[in-house]
Amino acid sequence: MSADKKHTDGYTLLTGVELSRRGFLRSAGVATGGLLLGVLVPTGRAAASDGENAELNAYIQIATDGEISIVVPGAELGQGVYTTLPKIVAEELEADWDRVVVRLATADKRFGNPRKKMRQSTGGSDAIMGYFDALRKTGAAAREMLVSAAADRWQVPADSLTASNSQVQHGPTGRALSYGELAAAAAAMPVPENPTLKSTEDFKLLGKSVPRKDLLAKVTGQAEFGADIRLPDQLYASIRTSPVFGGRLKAVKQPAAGLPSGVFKVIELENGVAVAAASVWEADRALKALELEFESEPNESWSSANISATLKSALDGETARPFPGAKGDAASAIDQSTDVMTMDYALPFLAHVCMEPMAATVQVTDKQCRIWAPHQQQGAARALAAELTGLPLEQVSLQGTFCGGGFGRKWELDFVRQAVQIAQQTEGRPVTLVWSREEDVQHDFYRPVVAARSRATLDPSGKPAAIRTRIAGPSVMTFQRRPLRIPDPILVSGAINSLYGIPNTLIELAEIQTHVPVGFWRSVSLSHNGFIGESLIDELAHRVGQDPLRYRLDLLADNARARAVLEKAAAEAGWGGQLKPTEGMGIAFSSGFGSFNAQVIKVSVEGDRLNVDRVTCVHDCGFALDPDTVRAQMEGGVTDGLSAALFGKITIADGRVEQSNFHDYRFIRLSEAPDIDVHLISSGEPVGGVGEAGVPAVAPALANAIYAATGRRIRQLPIVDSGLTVAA
Amino acid sequence: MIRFTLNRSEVSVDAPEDMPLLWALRDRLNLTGTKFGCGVSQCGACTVHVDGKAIRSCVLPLSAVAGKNVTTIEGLAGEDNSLHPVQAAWLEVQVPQCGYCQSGMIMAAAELLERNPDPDDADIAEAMTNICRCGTYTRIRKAITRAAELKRRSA
Repeated sequence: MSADKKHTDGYTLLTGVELSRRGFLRSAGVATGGLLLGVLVPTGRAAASDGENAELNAYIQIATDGEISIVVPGAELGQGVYTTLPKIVAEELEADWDRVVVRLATADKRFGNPRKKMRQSTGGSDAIMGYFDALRKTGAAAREMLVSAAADRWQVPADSLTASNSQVQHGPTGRALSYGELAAAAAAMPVPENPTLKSTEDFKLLGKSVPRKDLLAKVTGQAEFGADIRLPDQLYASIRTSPVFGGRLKAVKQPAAGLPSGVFKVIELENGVAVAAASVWEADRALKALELEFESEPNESWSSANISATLKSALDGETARPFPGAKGDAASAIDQSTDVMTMDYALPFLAHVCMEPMAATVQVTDKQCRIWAPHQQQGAARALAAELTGLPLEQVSLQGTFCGGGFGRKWELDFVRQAVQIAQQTEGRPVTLVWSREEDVQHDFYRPVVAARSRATLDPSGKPAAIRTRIAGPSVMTFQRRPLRIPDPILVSGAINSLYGIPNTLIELAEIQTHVPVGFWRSVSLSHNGFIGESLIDELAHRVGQDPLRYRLDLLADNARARAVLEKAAAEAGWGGQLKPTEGMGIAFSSGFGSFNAQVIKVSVEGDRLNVDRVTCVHDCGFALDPDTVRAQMEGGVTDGLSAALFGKITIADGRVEQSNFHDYRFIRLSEAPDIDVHLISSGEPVGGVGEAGVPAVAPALANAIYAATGRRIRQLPIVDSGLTVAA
Repeated sequence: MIRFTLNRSEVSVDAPEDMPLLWALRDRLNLTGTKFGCGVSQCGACTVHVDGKAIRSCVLPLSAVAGKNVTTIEGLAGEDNSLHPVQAAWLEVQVPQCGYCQSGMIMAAAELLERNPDPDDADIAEAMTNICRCGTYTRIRKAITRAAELKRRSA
């Protein structure tokens, strides 16, 4: 096997292997020639090309040999868009799916998400919701152009022709032409503005599970992530930034004995130092040999203790602001009640710890800036590089790579900024920046730390008459210097599920500010508010001695779709069945990202030893474009939710993060991971999100299960802080 | 110069003796299938085989493999490029999500099946200590059981 990798052009052969029918690897030829269609809003004519590197920005390229390449506009974070988005195009195109190859997009405004004002970014679980209609239209337009080309060739009416399996057929004469044969002529056809979409009953690919197109590369080590690009004259960089957030570099002292071998350059940045060297390890070794001094005032006085105190005084204080969407008058109802229950909840900062630490490859010359990066905001990252280098946007390119996890972390631009700044000082040589895990754990944009106080009163039947929930925490929007007039929904939305038939509800935000960077963490507000809201509902049900499932169903009397999800989860989990005294089941419901989700978790607790036995997860995203991929995302979301609930906690001392790697920022391991039983419901509602939607109900279902098993109510995460240990 | 056998070929690497094998593979030999995840032998993303044993290459000095036989994910498939049963099972069960940890997972699983051709869930839990941040654990369990079947069938 050759150890050499060739990168001769702006993109790499990310899909350069495919599985032949006999199960062997072979190299796929690079598609050449044929039809290129690149438009969400097609007007005028499509562009033809005969060059192998031409028109990389187009969605569809059909080679004369019949191979069809389709661009995936969103970032592949593991959630499967690499397969599901092209499947939408292929469905309408009537393409032979086996001959479809996929390309990761470059940053290009034509690949923007229609739901995000055409910004090209992946976040909020809306890739399918955003691109679904546009990609159907793109595929259908190409199909109609191929049909028109065949109609021209045969001089028959287009409506006498059918397209399927990458062929156009003329039924009456039995003639057929392959897409490869038609591609060049089709490229000259006008692009139909309103192509006819297939009826959903005619879908052959959508709604069915198909093998993912990226997995062969991922099981053979061929898939390329941010640190895997190899170019001539390449350098590698490692970086250390101020351990105290907001600190600035004051001085760099080189060792008396000189730097160790392999170093190309020590590069000083505003808040840290990078070393470019012959390998990541040599860069890191040199960094360790440097003495770095930082100016950390005044932030080094922050600690988890004073952040907790700040949260508490915010909860107790009078400055909370109401979030729009309140129902009735919860404040008066609670003030006038003589029986108010008050519950305080607390959740910590969480890190993302993507398996792939932050990494990007950049080459800057006086004429161009080329970036290869695993990024959730390709468009913004490219624009930032243009700003930093002063180059016109068209001289800046960004090729997306596979993302070794994202979870919201790779939405942030910090590591791309650093990689560009480093590459500006390497004399035109490409440089790959790879963060250490310590840098990653200690320089994240953390899920906000949150404290909450819920007050509730019940009506005579035991249902909630009023709930008032106050959330205290640092706002992501304020941190990003984009403060809103309303309380930041990133903190408060979903703190009380508005689907529940509760006459008086009020959510308030008592915003605090710390120096800790905060950002988007898988499922965002629902990552904490799912726990707060669904723990509370469970507490109320137990308070009146009602079954927590029945209690929720009654509150959802007007919502058959929500009830169906809960009922299915309960039925599949055997809710209400006989359990041992040490066992318990908890249930929780969440709605968000256009989807409904319910989870039942069964635990056993012997002494202080907690075993998560089984998770039953039911998801309704309207219509699952690829059921197996949706199931995989549920398995992943559940695991992520469990790990965070059991172990996840970032703490601050002397202004810096105390954790540094997987030994002290634990992620759940296989021995601790339960069986996860996923069931999907196709309600026929509009397609909803998947990637984040499996997370919110996990932590409350787990805490509710622990209560059912032991009578211990967990109101503070992580669970290991309550004195329980997790059985391996 | 450190010489060893890498994926059935003799190689020599010009690098400091204490450079971890991971970085020699990645940044000297351009074999990027082996991943960096933690640098402290916690996560297992860097797992390779040294003389048939699963080793975390981020903490193994290059000098330790002199004269030895190293296999990475790129060399796990047969010489005719036929997939290893673990790789085939991984595809069949559709294990990977982001895929970043999977080279290490597959190498760890392949070694497990060499030692124990019929592992039960407890054996799998004990052997598979690598971290998958996407949470593919349930599928990994299933795929290892399936790979064991495939391996027995091809033996």
